[in-house]
Amino acid sequence: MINGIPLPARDGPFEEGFWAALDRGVLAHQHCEACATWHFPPRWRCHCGGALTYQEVSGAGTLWSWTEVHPPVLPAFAPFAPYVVGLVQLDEGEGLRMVGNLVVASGDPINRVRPEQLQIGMKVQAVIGEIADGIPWPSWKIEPSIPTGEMP
Amino acid sequence: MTLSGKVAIAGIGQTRFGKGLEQSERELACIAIDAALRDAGIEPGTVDGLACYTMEDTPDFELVRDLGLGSIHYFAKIAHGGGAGPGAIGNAAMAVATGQCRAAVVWRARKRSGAATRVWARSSPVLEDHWKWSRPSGLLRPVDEVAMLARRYMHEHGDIVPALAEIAVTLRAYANANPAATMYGKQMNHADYHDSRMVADPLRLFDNCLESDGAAALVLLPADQAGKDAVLVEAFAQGMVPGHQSMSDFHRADPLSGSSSVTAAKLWSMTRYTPADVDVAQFYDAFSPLILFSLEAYGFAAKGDGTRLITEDGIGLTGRLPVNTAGGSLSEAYLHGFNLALEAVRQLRGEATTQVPNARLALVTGCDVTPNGALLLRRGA
Ligand SMILES: [Zn+2]
Repeated sequence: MINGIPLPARDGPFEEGFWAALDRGVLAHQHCEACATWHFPPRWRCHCGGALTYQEVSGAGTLWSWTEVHPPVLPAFAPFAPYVVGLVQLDEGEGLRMVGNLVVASGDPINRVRPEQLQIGMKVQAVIGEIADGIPWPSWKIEPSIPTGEMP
Repeated sequence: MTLSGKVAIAGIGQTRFGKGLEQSERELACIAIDAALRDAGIEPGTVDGLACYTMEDTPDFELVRDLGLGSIHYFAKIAHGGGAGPGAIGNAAMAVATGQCRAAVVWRARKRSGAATRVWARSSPVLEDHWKWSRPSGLLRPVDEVAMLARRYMHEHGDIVPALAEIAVTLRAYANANPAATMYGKQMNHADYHDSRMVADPLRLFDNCLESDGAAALVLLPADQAGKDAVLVEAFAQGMVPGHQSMSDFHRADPLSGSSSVTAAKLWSMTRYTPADVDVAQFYDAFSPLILFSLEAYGFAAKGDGTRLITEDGIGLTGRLPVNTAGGSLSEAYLHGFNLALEAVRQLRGEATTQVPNARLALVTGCDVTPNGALLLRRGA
């Protein structure tokens, strides 16, 4: 947890199932039975017109892209900069992607993983932690087979 | 029915560009609009249409009072930040073409150079909108979001850093010929580019737009009320691809093919001209990769081939397609891209500081990574 970061409102439309799953320590996304499509961010209904229900996902994905953020940044993030932010493609569906921090182990600081450890396409796995009291959020654990370098 | 040839950009005006200008945003708007009206040769009282960006802070009615404009019969604001410029101009042009108004002013005024005014720095502690999906993870600034796409582009199509350097250096060279440019007189070479600090890997300081104060405005009139060599709106389109979200456009099957691709398809469908006919282009360039992405989206290069166009064919005066010839947002001024439209007009009038010989057709685009728009302008005679 980092004090003072911008936090996501939990009461957005169509998000109840997303947050309820995270509260249980799992990741869920909207799924359309009619056309077998996964969706994120949350929406009213599928583009095919089908109804959406929240279904647990595996949390398995691959690194689609990343950047290393250098100063100047918001004050809350400044002590950690530069730090890597990842964009993860979930295994369930093309376009089902989430932005998140990359870690070697759950609870790592956001600057634990270095660019040298990253390859686009590498496997990642969701780990649910809290970014603030009452705000669960997924980070993405990189595969332990990848050399982890030295602690920053 | 299309817009082709019905509306002229009959006047342009701008303030000084720079950091820490003493005038308020509202006064800057007045100065730019007044200059545009004088350039068009029309009295303020004849203006009956106004269009601007939703991010414009000055109320339109204040400008009506300040400038002595007439009864206003068309007023509109176009959304999506840097995507809005061509849309604001194009919507006002539609209003002029249909007789909803007879003389429209479009403007952008900003005092951006103070750090606290940057949009991302005003991020509230609790995010209600789509930024909730990325900013809590420290993806904070527009440059971070563009860097994410740039990194992916490199994975799919190869290194882009030489092309980004070429963009930054070429636009700086244009600015060095433009006394109005913020970076006039400040040289930059490839070594300077590579020495500049990293901001969001792989993007460096010189891949970022300036932080500017200033204003720019233009006046639209029915083509038959402008001179026969006036600059005409040939075509206009807006675009928002399904699944898009502004800036952090990461959740569609192919985020590297964004709203520009649908804007471009619409634009080219509304004119007999093709990309090969374009003499000069003004691509929205808050960040250098947006020029690369836009070159491909608007059909000047195949997907993945834009870097070759930039580094081999060239975007300088003698290159295949001169781009952002006043220095653009990287080296002239960052007015949410509105200064790009004025430069297109100067090129078609033959009045640019780096003039493309006999320029007859110019493209102006909005931000590649937001819902956006584009204008194709041509010289009347
Ligand atoms: Zn469906």
